[in-house]
Amino acid sequence: MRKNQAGMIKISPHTGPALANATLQANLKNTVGKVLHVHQLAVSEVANWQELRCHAEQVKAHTLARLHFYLQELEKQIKGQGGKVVWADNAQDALDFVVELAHQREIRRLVKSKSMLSEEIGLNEALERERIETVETDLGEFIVQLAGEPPFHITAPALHKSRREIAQLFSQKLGMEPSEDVQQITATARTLLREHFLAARLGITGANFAVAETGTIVVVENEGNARLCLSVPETHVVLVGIEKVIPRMADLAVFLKLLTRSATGQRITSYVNLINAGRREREADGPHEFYVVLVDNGRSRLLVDPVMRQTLHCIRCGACLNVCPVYQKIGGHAYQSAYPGPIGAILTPQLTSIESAPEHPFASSLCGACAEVCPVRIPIPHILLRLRAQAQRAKNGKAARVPAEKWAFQLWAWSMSSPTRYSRMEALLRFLQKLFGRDQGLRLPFPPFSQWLRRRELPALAPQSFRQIYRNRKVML
Amino acid sequence: MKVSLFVTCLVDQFFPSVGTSAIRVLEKFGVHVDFDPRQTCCGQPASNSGYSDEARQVGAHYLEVFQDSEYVVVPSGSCCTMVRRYLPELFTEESPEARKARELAARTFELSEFLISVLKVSDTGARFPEIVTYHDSCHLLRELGIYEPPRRLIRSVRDIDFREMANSTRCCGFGGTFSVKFEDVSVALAEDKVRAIQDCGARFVVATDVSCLMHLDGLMRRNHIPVKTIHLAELLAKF
Amino acid sequence: MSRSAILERVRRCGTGTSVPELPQKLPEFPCYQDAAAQFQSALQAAGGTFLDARSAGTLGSALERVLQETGVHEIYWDGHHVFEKHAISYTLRDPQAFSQSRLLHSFHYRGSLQFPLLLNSRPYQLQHLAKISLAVSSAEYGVAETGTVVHEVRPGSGRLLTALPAAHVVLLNDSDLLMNHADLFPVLSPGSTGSMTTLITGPSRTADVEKTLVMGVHGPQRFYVILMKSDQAEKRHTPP
Repeated sequence: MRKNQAGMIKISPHTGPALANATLQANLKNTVGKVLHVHQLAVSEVANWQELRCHAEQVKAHTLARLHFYLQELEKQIKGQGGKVVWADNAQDALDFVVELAHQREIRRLVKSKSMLSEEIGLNEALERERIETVETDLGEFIVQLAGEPPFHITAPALHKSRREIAQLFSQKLGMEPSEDVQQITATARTLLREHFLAARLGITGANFAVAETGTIVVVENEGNARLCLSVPETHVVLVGIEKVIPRMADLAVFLKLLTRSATGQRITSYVNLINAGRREREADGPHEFYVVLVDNGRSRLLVDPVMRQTLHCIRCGACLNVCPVYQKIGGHAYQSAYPGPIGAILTPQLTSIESAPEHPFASSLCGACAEVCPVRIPIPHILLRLRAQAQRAKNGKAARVPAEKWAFQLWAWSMSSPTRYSRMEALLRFLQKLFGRDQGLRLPFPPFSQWLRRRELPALAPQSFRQIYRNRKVML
Repeated sequence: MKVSLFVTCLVDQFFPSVGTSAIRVLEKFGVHVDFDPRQTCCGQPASNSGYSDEARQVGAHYLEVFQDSEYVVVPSGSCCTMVRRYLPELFTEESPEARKARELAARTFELSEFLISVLKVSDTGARFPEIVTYHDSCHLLRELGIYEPPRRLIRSVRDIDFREMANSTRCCGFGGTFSVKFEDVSVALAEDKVRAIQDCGARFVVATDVSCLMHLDGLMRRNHIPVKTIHLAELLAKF
Repeated sequence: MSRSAILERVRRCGTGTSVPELPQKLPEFPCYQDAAAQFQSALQAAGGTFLDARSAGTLGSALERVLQETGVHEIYWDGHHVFEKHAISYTLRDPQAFSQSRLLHSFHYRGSLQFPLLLNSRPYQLQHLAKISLAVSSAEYGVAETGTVVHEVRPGSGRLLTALPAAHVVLLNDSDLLMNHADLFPVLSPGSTGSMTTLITGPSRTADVEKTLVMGVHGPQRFYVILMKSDQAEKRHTPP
């Protein structure tokens, strides 16, 4: 999470940078359009999509309610097959483990495949402080790392960049012959990353699922970079959020179908890696050491409330980002967190605290497109509303005097809960309209009216309200 | 059949013709429509902004006004969603208010839904010789799951040239206080919507919610775009 | 200690809430009249090539086609398991070939392939693995629904031979072809044979640049599945 000096993760209410950037808007429109199209095709092909969603939701709800059991089961299975399990209460615990391991093995450079959890805990930055270089090997991650930017999207980190921009980046930083050919861009990355893979002694990956009954870590990918990260180096470290555990192998059939179709519109990805251990005695390759780091970092707090807990159902497909009209406009970086978009708006304040990300729950028009598309049925707008209430309580509870907005809502509630007071308010508004708008509309020179009026008209209050008309309804009808 | 009309505060103050049109349509099909003048607002603005206490205060008043109604009809998908889905949640689960709110929720209908599902009316006899498109309001579509009823009603209007715009189900960017808190995003989304409306050649855009229409109309008027907004009730009352 | 702290917190937060039941049945997954035809179309949709060698004696020509298309003269074999499972006859040119950590390979000058294969071997070395152009492995299962094959690491072989080469060929017996993933996952028991199991569907791919599809990023650029008839296998078999 990227905090500013006040320790607050801010969404700028004037999200200008992305909105004003015409190239970025055009890139986004192009790529998001393609993503939505293939997603639509992939989902419409599945007759019982809703049934699959319900199944997944039920499995997640069950697992989270019995998480202490399944985590121990997972640990037992992994240990039983020779893997090591490390528990990390918070980001620092996880970072300390990786840094120490790298130091012990005298590793100066490591390879890593995509892991949102590693972004969440700030792994690359922590390693960099220790002068250990992290090579991102997923092409999208590689591109944003090269550009010195955080990922823009959960499953498509470089979604916002055009091939032209990427080509420029590659020719500047890697000395590639200027070319906007995507084949050549990919080949350049492949050649360079091959070198890194072959020399790597430590590989770090994330995990999409961890199956308790078999102790299996599931890594879903398309490029084959995760496969190399977890095969070539002598040490493999998997970072897993504790909510990733699922009870049974069989349920993977459902989760994979939901995940890949939601994420990239594929029936399945090129590779689904199921890892149970490091190299076994008679196997020709594979890591000698296999570590599974189970990271809490605020997750267990979400378990308290069964509604809020559903946030942890998330399988990081990114579908809610693609359909979100707000994300499409402000882009992934505006959220200032590893998790952008609707899921980020509910996850970020819960993993940190509502005080540190008070604006996130408000960065939504509550249109509900996210909940509709979510493969595990997270009621995102519902959770946003709860978080908005928490944010107001936190803000107003601390304030020395009642803030203007709170005061306005108190006044509003007072007048709206009595017909007499409502009528007085009606009269007052009409008076104000006369005063400021000369009956051309409600042109009041203070917020929220002034903000609305900057680029839009407000309608005028009707000469007669409906209730006045209704009183004389015989005349009317 | 007796129906209580909840006109909503915006209609009451800004767009009264939506209320009178709703009455005209309902009465045409033999419904006795009652308007209780004690009604104010459903509490949604506060609920959506995180002011639960204030929302509860207004919600309690709403419950008091409508608790004895046989049916409540609302010419708004958004306010209907507030009453049906979120009002019960404002109160503690086992409280009498929560129980009342849940019961009332089951008797509350959005106008197009009420016409199609309860009255079984898909043609109000209206005539409107114009090119018209329809904007799905988010709450009506995704919270209440109503897609077809407004379209059926529009298609049955005589002489109408009904055209679907691209991405009709995409948000117009209003979102209550979102429209002022994230003003520039809100306007950018409305601009996309207006472009889609213009691209399909429509001269009128119909919706079930005056909030969306107010937002779109506000932008179109400021930019002198010759497209008019019209609420579904107003369209259906053109007989 | 983190472990007890996390588990205690998780236990405390979880108590007092009712536990929703784990659904006992999987939702329905699609079934097909002709599983092989579905497998073929799904594999092709994922960018893979399907070769049908279900008629007796056609494995050789299927492999020759791959050699021709890739312009390669050398095949690396993913352990002796491949020969056993698909009853491929061979002659060991190198008596040490089946001892531990050796890479098995056969030469095919002018792209021709005859049985029994003449097998050579080299030490299993990373630098050499990275130069390999073509690897042939065997699938535990195939899944018609998505055109997927299941690869398992077995004793004597490893993870990298199928991950690094430019082209990867998978031999699949038709008796191992399942309808869908609901048939696969309940019978899959990862960890029981090797340390890693991989579901592979088509070549390595990316769409990270403008959502434009490119085949062959870090893994094979070409991917073939040769479907074979399991009961005709012995006809090709000549014991070494």
